[in-house]
Amino acid sequence: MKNNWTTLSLLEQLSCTFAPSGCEGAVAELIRSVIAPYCDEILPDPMCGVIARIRGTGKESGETIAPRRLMLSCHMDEVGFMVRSITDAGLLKISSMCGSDTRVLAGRRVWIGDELRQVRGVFGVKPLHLVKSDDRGRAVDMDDMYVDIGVSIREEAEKSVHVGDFGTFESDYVVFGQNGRYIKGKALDDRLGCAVLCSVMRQVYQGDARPGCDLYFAFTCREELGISGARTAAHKIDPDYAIVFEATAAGDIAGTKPYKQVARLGEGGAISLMDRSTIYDRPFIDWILETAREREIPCQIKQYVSGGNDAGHIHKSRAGVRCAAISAPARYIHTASNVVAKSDIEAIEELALAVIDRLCSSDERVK
Amino acid sequence: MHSDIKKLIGSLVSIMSVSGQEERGRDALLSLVSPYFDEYIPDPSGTHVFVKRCGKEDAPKLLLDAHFDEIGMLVSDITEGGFLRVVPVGGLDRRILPAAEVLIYGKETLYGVIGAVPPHLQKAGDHKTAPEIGDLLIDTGYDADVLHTLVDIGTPVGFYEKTASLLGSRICGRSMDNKACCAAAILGASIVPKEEMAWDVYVTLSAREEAGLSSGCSAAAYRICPDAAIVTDVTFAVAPGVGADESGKMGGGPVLSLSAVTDRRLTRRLLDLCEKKDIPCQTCVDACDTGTNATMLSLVGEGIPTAVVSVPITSMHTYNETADIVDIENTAALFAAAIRDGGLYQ
Repeated sequence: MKNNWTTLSLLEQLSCTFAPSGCEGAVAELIRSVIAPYCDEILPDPMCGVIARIRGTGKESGETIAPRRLMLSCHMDEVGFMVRSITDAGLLKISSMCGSDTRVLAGRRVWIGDELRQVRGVFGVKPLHLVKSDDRGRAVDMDDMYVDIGVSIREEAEKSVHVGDFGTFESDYVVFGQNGRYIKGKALDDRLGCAVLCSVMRQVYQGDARPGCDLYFAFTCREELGISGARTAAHKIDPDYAIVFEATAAGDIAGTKPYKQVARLGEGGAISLMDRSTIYDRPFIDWILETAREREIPCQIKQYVSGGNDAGHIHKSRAGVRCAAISAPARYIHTASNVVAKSDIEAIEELALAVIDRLCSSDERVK
Repeated sequence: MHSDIKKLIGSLVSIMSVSGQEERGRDALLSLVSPYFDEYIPDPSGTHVFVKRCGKEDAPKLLLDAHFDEIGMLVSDITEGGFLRVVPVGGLDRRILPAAEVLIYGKETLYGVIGAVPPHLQKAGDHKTAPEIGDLLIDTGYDADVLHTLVDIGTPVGFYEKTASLLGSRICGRSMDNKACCAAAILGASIVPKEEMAWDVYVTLSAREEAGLSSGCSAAAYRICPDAAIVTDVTFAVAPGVGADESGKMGGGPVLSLSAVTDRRLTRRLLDLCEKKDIPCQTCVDACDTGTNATMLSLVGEGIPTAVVSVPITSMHTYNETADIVDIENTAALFAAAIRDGGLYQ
């Protein structure tokens, strides 16, 4: 990996990497090679995650001791699929690992395979013309879908694909919209968190001074399954504070009432107060908001109680961890076409650096 | 040969041809196809007519018709926040639209994503219903005021997916219906040396089939006044939910339609040609209607003996229609054999 990457060039590479939940090897390898020059060590993780450490000075400041350990977490995995069986006609029957909305699958291209090799397939559907008119408005059931990889018999398929193989969407990384302000791709949830933390790590490591505390960057596995690699990572790191960098479902589309929009693209990172997995540490949140305000970094409050993320596991680790989550608003999350704003990614990176700077060096502690 | 035809299909697919907008791609189409033909005749209906002559006087005329248009959408509304609403053109499948990617052919070609409602805004059971097309919003990433300067009501919208390869000889992407058959017709006409041609061949890449009108094909045929016609279009391939008696087998060769509206003598002659030339082929029964241009075409003028030769594809009218290159090549081979075969005229 060359060192002349930017957050966005890295995001493109990360987005195009095949790494559904449970098969994160390829993206873990990429991240390891990217961050190796910018940390003191990469710790072994039996859960296949990547945990990197930048050692701080650990100095005392004022009456309180600077926090010993800050965990910055993101997840490497993406929503995906698994091959359930192969038919005599060489077609694949698939289990979805993206939750229940199968409407975004019909007709889509996918990659099927593992870390090392994948083949292209298409989620085929019965053509509309042959569907009874009553059923034309019904979403295609997962059981009625199949993936065609281009062969006609089982034996041919088995040369390239096996039961238990993984799958992801195939989706180009597209820069679009006014002045190219948006990005569309697969797995931006949460490769954007990964790209931001790689970049943050590089800037901290190349900075003039060591941070005041030990920084742990955790790139976790299996978040999309809810079986979080962050849980074990948090146990290992034993942090005092943790910030989760995520993507959150934005509903800022025409006709949606403002209070139901959750978060809006272009208004900065969305800071969670509460979701289905966590009630966040309010003094820590207030402190982050204050940091953003003082340094004039755009951010917003996530306005809807929905979703969940690695914080759900991290905040319950050991004797508890003070947790916050900063998410990029992402439209059409859990589809092949995640849409995010470049300016939000920049704002989140800036806020992460500001928080590290202040938390590690300031006399003024979080209450 | 595989890669040549794949390239030709890819190039044809890249020319936007949403029904009613077939003329917009004329320049690109001409530079791609003209080298294989003697003459191009623009037709007011939007149909592109390419002629290759055999050089004999008073030669009979064979019409090879492949509709050039594709399903798509037209912009019907530009909303707050820079979203577009659309109406369908042709048989758009609402089951496949959430999160689909599109190209918007305005003053510039814009990229867009068809929105999918996030789960927290869905009501219980919503995920079982395909959203109404009128309720969908295309996300353009533009502010509404800027969008108004780039897009108008009526601007065509098509799918984004380019052509891609699967294992073996299969390809997938948007508009295999009917660019795969356009490619077969162009290739079939181009590979026969003039001195071996028994006919003057008119390839009509016709307009407005997907809108259910067949008006492009019938208007052009009226002017050409052919002695026989072969319509080439896609048909259903055997797949889950699609039985062998309503479709052809992918990789089994061109599918010849046995129908009350097609000319059985011509169809038989083509089947015989396949046997003689060792071209794999198959038949399907379309009793009353072939669902193609053939019905209208056979009734043009005093009537035109018409056969239907189809390429089987799966997932028709999705943005990843899937076809087998071998079928397209064998369809082209059958056309080449027909162009050499004077006996078709009797």
